[in-house]
Amino acid sequence: MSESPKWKLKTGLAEMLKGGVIMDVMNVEQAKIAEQAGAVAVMALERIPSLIRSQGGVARMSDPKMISEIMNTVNIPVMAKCRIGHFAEAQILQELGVDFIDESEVLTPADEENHINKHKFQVPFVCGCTDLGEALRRIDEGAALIRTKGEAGTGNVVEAVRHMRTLMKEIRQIQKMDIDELFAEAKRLRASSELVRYVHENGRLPVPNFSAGGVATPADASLMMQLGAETVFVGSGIFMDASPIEAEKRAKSIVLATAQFESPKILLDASKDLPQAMRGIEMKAIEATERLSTRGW
Amino acid sequence: MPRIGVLALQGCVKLHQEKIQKLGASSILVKNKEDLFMVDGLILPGGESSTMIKICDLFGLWNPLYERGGQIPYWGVCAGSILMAKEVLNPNQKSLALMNVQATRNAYGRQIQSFESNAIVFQNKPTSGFFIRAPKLIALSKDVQSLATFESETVAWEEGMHMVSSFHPELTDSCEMHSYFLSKVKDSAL
Repeated sequence: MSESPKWKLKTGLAEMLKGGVIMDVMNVEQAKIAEQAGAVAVMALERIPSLIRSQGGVARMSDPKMISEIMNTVNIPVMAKCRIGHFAEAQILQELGVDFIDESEVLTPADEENHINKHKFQVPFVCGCTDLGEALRRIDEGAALIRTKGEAGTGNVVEAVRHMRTLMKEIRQIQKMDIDELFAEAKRLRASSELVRYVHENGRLPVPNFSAGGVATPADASLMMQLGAETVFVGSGIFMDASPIEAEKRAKSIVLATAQFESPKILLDASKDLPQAMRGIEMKAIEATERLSTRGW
Repeated sequence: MPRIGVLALQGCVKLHQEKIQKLGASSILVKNKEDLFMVDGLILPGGESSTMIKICDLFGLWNPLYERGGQIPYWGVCAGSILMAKEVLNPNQKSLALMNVQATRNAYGRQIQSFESNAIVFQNKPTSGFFIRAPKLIALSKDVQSLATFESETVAWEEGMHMVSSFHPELTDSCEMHSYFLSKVKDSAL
């Protein structure tokens, strides 16, 4: 098992976030709305993914001043994003004292070969994945929490489903394998054989497994939880195209749906009379090269 | 054997369940009012207290939780201890007020200040636990007894059938705190 300093403290905080909703917020007002609606944590960033997608340009770590204002406002954990491989941004965020760093494909990658060596940090990291191999490579580098990537900023859950289905299917396949086959499987997955053995023995990742990218409705949140997610990240889905009152309504309904994802009766109530969800983008409308989920390796 | 519930609205639920099962008792996830009245003791786990309050409010579970707290033992861990306290600071927020304890949220600081200790003293013996964005808990009455200390501060209290701890024993290999709670549940069922 990957043992970095304070390993269990890092995964321990991820354990506390289970069964919740982590919401992207761009300012203090949105952070307050998220907390009041029952978010377990907020992700502080200057532009939510749908804006990054529409405005283009290089997307970087947010201004630490904006992040610290949010940290001073809410009492729940605050996360922030750095670019893939950009360990200097991560050093700045750790110095600032954020509770979790997301080494995120939503920002423009800074290194096309190496992700950050997350073992060097005291602060826990979350990383995205599209399949099991990618998840295990990130855990090997020290990620204390994995989220399937989905396709951020689209309001379309199809990629989140694809990635969670893939991950869970690959976990089940490894569980059933003969122990002699694990070495070749590790090679195929380009993952540490020790981590592959852990999955074989335990039938799950060695860290919590959350879902992100395209969740826009209470039903989307329930779908991801039923497919195996232990918490959902909601990025653009709450504050995009919404007044503060509409955003709070959306946020509460997604919190409720995530907490009681197995109860259709409660999902029915949570889904009624909501402000219209973000318009969203069909996957065919996004060029393969423009997909954020292809970033990271 | 008593049935121990774990409040399963949000947070670190599964690890408590595993500890309880390891001790030979049965464990039930408590998600609604009906579940609550099927158990003989309840663990309120770590997580985010503000989220749990919101979910209770949205479901109408707040009053049943308070009512059942007058009948069976509760053990609040971290966020759960904040729910059970009489007074909550940083910020002030509503609570079940089942114990004469004052809880200050995030009193040790942010995640970067979170720590593990194997020098928590419980029943005159060292035990281990994790303090994760933990609250500090202070007794407001002489009826509240210190149950565990760390560096001369009390980090777990008990009052009558209830108990609270600011640290997480469920993240360690130790079962002592869970075993103690189980014995409290057995005593109160007699």
